[in-house]
Amino acid sequence: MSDSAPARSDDPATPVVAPAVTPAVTPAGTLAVVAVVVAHNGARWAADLGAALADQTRAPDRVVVVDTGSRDDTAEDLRAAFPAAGLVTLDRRTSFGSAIAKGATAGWAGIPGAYGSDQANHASWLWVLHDDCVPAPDALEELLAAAAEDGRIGIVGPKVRDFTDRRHLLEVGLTIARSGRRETGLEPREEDQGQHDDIGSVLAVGSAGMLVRRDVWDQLGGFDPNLPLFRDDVDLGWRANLAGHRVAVAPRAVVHHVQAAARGRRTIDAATRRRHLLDRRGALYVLLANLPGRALWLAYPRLVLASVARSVGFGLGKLPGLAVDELAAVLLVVARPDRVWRARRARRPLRTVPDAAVSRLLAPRGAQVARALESLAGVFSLGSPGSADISARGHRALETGPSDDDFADDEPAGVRWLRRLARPGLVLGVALAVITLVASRDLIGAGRLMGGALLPAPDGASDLWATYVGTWHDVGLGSDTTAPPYLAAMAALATLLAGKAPIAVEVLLLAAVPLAGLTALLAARRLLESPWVRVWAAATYALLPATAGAIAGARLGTSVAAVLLPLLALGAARVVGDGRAPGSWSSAWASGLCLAVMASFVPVSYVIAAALLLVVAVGAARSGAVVARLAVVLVTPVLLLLPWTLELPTRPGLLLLEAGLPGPGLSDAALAPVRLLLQSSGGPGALPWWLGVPLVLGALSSLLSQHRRRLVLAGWATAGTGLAVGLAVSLSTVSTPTAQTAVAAWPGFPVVVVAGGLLLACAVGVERAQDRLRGRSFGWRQPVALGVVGLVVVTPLLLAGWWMLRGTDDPLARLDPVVLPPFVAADGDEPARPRTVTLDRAADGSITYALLRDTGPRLGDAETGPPYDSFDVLDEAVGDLVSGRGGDEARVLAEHAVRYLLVTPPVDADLVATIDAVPGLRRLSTDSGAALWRLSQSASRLRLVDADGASLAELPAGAEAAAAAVPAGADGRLAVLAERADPRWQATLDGTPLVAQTVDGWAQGFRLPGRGGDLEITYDQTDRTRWLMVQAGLVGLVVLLAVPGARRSDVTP
Amino acid sequence: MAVFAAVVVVVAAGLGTLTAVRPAEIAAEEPARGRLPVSNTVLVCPDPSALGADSSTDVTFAAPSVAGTASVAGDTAAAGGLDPESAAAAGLEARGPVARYPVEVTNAPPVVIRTLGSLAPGLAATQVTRATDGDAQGLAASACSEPGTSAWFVGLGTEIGHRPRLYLINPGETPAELDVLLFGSGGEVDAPAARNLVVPARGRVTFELDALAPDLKQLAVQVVVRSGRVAASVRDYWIDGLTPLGLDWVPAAEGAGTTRVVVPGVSGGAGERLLHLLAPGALDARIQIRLLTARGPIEAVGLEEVELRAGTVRSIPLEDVAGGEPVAVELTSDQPIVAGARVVVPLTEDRTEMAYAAVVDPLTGTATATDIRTGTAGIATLLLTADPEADRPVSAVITFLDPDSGEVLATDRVTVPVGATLPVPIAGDDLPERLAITVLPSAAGLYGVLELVEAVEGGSYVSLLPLRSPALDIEVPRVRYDLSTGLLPG
Repeated sequence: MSDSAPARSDDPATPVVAPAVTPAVTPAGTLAVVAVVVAHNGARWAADLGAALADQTRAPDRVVVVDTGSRDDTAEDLRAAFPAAGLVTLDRRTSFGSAIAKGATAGWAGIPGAYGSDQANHASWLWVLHDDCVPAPDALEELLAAAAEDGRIGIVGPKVRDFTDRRHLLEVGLTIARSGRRETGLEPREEDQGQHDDIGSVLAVGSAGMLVRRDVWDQLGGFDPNLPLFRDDVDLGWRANLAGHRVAVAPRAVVHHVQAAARGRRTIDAATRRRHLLDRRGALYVLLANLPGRALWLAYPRLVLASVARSVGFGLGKLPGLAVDELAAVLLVVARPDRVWRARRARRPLRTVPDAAVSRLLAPRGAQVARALESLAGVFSLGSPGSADISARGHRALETGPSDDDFADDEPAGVRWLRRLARPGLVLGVALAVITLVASRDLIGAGRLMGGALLPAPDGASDLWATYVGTWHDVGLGSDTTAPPYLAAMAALATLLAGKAPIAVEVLLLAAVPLAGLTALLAARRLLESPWVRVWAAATYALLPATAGAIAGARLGTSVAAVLLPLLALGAARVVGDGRAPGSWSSAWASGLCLAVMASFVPVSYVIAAALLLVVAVGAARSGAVVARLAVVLVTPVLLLLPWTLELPTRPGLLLLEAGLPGPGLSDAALAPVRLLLQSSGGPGALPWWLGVPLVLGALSSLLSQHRRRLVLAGWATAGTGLAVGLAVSLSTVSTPTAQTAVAAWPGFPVVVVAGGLLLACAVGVERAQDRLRGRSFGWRQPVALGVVGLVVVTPLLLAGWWMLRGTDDPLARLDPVVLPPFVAADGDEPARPRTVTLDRAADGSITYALLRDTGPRLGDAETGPPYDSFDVLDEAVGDLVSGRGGDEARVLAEHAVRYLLVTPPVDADLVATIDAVPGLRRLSTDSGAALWRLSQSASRLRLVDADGASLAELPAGAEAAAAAVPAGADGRLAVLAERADPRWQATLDGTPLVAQTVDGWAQGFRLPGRGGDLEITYDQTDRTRWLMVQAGLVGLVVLLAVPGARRSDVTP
Repeated sequence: MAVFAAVVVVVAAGLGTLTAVRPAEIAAEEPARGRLPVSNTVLVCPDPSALGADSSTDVTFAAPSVAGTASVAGDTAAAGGLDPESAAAAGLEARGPVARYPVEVTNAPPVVIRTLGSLAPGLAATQVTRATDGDAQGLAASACSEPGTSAWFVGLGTEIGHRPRLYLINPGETPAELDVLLFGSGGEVDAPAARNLVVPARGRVTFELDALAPDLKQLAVQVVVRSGRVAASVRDYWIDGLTPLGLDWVPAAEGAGTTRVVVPGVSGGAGERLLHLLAPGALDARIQIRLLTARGPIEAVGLEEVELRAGTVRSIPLEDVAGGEPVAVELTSDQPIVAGARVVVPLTEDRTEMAYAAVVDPLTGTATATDIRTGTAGIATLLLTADPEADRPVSAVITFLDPDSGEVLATDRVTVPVGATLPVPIAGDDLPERLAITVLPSAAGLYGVLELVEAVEGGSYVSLLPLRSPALDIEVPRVRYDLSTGLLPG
């Protein structure tokens, strides 16, 4: 203990001035209590403390005020209140620990059996007090009483409550988590109802009001001088425990504490002024100094890594100061292993009890996870009307500090838990989840979701990333179509879900209803007053028929956009700001990000959002900042979705499409315009028209009242915009590169907007219904309004019932996504890279076919295929093939590198008979009931052909790039790659670039000289890579800007 | 209230206007891409061998000049061997003229006529073997056939002296796998040797049916191709000891699987006329028989209705009811049936000549006969039958063509009453001895069989050549690229 004993280690330059120490009042051998108050610019509270000391039912025998360079009258005020107090004046940079030590030395002076004596001095106590704490009148008496009960007690601490909010419990003992986090074991803003009064031993108690037995204090050497301000109490308690003393809380002793230093209510002069740095450094030091030796070597790297991670987190939270502190703290500790080593050496003689006995007093390992879950659960609660800002609220829940919001109820804990369970948000989430489960009963089992507009997800997130990042897509004849940006969003989500792409699809599609309910609830918090009307509105929104239709038709885009729409609305509201909170820039970036994600799934959502936000901008034109923020919202998606955005001028049809394959039968070309107003988007899962009537009536009836007129009109404006865009969409036709049938565009998302707008108008009416019905006489309106409200209120029940009856499946299904028989798929990896044509007869008698390379089509292939006019040659060959018109189809197929033809079960017997008769095809047996043929002639992705186009040889090729040795031969030969000709294909022979040439009107060929050599064919990805880097940079920047500036987290001393 | 009214008016007006101006629905695309000209025709003439010293075979082929077709310079049709690389023995360079390839050697390989491009639509070819000496004597005419996946031959027998021979020829590049099924009066004949046959690419397999299934008075043969395509033909010849009793090709019976069929062109004159019936299905058939004569359909006395056990062949003599007239036979059944007829014409006291008729499909367009002898060289009669189900008489335009130049020499127009069989002699004062004709019906429901008779000492050799309308075009379904093909069931 020698080298860390405070009495010797303190700054020797600091003069100790102790002019007036009160003479001993206690005779030798009797119990003596010396109270030491450290005063540092605490005049605000000094009078209270002085009075409290004076009022003690068991007064301390001596009081020493240690003033560490106060610039106010703290010490004087204290002494005025407690004239008997001695005074020690120290430099303002003196640490808390050494101040106490100096005070204690001064206080013990003259008391018999003080330093060095072992005569009965153990009955003497040191009472540590801060200038910002106020002990209750019986505090000392109760502390001493508790200490008297157990002779093993070395340190006893009071129950600490808040200074201003006197019910608010701050501490009943302290501990530390293995991450260094200070743990009180209390819930945020927990009220003191005696619930913790049975607490036993603790690791440590806070220094405010702590009572330390004098011999223990001496044995431990007081506070560690390496801890200038924070964490010294934890360290002391830990050491006391290690030394075999008991640290206890006396719950009947109460101290009210301001925690001024920790909360930044006063400057810290003891060391650096950086509170967070001090706190973290202290935490790391305490852990490393006290943890058992075997745990140390794991703790070192873990703490360093965790600190780096936290630092990144602070950086993202736009708290660069804290990020720097975090790193600095870990550097300071790691850079001085000698300090840790010396501290551990000093503690070694203390360790008299097994480590396990002390370790159990540390915070349980799961505490932090539990805390995170707790704060997440806070999202589900409706909260108080004032707390509209969810992110701020969630953040506050994580804090241990006091809150401005006061809970005024006196319910016992059990009832509060029940009330928590009955939170409307939780009820809503659970109900929607159950409804979804019932509705998707036919989609449970093995396989992958597909059908409708959805192609099955690939196995992993990496496949999605590869599709997104790639320039050349091996879909059909190959294409350089820009990958749709929604793939990046899907890939990112799949990466978060442990890389499981199918789960990402299931979450976005099947969980869309509960998720939409929760996002709608978040938005409703800002707009609606009554919790249950919010729940009603959120439930109705979640169960919108357009969303149900989107799920049934497997429209990933609309279901994602329906989930995000309330968030965008909320974001837009925060961008504009209102009386309660000014508009925020981070909301603008977040809304822009949200809109970008929506637009990547459903491009038309951008059009709708732009129209609505322009209206808002016109309304807010006098505020330049608001207009600028709205501009940010609108410009961000355009930039983030580059280079896809650049495709729009040449392919305006993209605006009408959404993620997936708009196959025939998924939309209604004859959708009557009025059906859009009735919230029906047509296609599979379209609901009976009359289910859409209540919302229209409700929204209309809201117009009859003056109540919240602006909100009602906003709802109608939203609905009108959605209606206009939806009509334009439903009157258009679309076709994709990979499904050339033109079909009516699907107005799913515009209908969601229509319904959302109507719902908003409706909700205002419902909220007001009670007053309206009770209020002035409306004559005929009153019963009508009653009826409308009743109808509107039961709408979500009707929708839920209808949806559960219908189910979410059809055409959405869960099936095995494997199309090709295993050996055919395996063949696809051969050097020849052969392909397969699958054929089927559609319901109308026409023939559909696909050109597959490996297992089958996957998510993203629908958008990345080549334009369908590039299939002309193949179309004709397949037509001839299935009509029996006769010709050399087999040769054409071979030129497309097709080796297999497949008709999957149930097979069309006529089709199979016709293909059986085609020369050049040989039927193979399969065990699945499929009909499979193999071309007699060889088919290869890369061929060598002579000047007349006749095949000379097959060459091995990779999936994209190809490398092969070419034999010498005649002039005029070509290397033909069975990929669509594209200027970015490049070839070299022994390093010499070859001249490209289009073969057969579509394929990529290269002119070969007569000599042989090593042929290398590559596809130039540079442009895409550059774009992606720009895009990644932009996304990173916007994410950084979008993260709400986190509030500074307070630390507690 | 004003706002309420304004919103209602705006929304109603907007929706109303749009409902009114709503454009028509997207026109449903036709499931078919349309009818496109046949682009590739392969015709197989199975055995053009001369059958002895006084024997020769003429393989003739032509693509008639009909409306909607045109020759493209450079396109050719060529007669060659099974190997497509083999030298062409005869060729066509334009539509109209008839190419002729005379074969005078025995054991000649099959002749394959191939065409790619503009000469393919309507291409017709015939092989006519004239044997006036030796064991196999007679006139044997046959249309060269396209490889297919199924064929029926009815009217055969394997009594002592009957030597029907089945030719299976695969001109394609992949082996063909097939089964040959044999049916007799007692049902299907067990002939394992005829199962699981493989005809190699560019190969030929020949079966002697009398060895496979001997001693059957009635025999029907079905060829079922499981993969690839095969041109199947049957030639029958009949010998009694040393006396040749006739020789001819048996036309493939069409219309298998239908319940109302017509066997046209059962020649008139003396001799046996034997109708063979087969019910190939699983159920017994009840068959109504009507003869279609020059005076129209008549019910054959005593043969109004015939019972036929499933899978069995039954023969019915017709000579008494036909009374020497050329007739066609209409068969209506409650089960699918296949039918054919054997015509035996007495030449001298102990010698006969044979010919075969079979169910054919009615003409759907121009039919071409490329090798007709008239004047002193022979007598050709076109037996035209109008379907009794036709609602009005069907007429036909018969065009007489010069085989060498393809020039039209004359045209004739005949009208056939409903349900009647009308013999139309191919004759005229100015006609050359060798002739080609085309027959174009005015409407559906006309059947045509060419009866070829070439007089020799002591009688006339006869052969029946059913006319068929080769496809000029074919319906090609609309083909759409759809990435999800095969992924989702149904």
